[in-house]
Amino acid sequence: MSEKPQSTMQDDLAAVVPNLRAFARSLCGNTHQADDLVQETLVKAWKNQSSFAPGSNLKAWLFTILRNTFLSERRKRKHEVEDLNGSLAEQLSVSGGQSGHMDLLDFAKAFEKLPPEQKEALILIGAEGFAYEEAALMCGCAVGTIKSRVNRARGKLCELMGVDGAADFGPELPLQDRARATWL
Amino acid sequence: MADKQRQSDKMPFDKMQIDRLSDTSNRCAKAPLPPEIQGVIGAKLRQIYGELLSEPLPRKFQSLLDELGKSDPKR
Repeated sequence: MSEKPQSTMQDDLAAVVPNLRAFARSLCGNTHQADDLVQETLVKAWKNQSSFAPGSNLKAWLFTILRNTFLSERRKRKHEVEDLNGSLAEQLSVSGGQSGHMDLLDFAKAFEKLPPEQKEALILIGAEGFAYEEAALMCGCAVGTIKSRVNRARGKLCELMGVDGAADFGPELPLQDRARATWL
Repeated sequence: MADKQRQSDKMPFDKMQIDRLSDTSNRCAKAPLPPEIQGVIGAKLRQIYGELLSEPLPRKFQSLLDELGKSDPKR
């Protein structure tokens, strides 16, 4: 008559899957690779759940596992040609809807050009809302390093989009302009 | 300032870079950015990330978790 503590872990893991998937996709751009990464992360987390300190931040723990898995995969795949079909911009233009406008596609395209460590820092801080200290722990670097990566990422995005002021990020473009963006 | 000066003495490319960075037409390259631009970048980022987050999940993840639930984590 065990109390099945696993079922809680299962639920907790399930709750973070959308975040893991979004993080993985912003890191590697490729949907299939991202999904593999998430699955591998879940398996590793399950097998190593005894090393997770209850009460600490599960999302941060899982993100760290995913990140480490991504880095070791990337080292292995270094010489493979990158498949750009699953890129963030491509995904946005395919999914259409609200995000189909030029403005966001440009942004996604610019984001893809950032170095991986800057993408990572920007997502952790800007999108996931982790504290700089948490992100630094997750990435195994100094708080100042995370801060400067975020700053550089913002500056680079701005530069890539040719923005000189907030107004340049203009309103949504009309539908016909989406067509121009679909080659992405 | 003195550091930059010393670098540019040694490496002309660094000098060019510094000139480029201090060009007001390219002020985005300088950090930190004005708060309103940071705000817009943050909003765009969250919008894109939000789309990824709200996408329907493939069934495979739940299947995997169900599978894991049946197994002993220690093996």
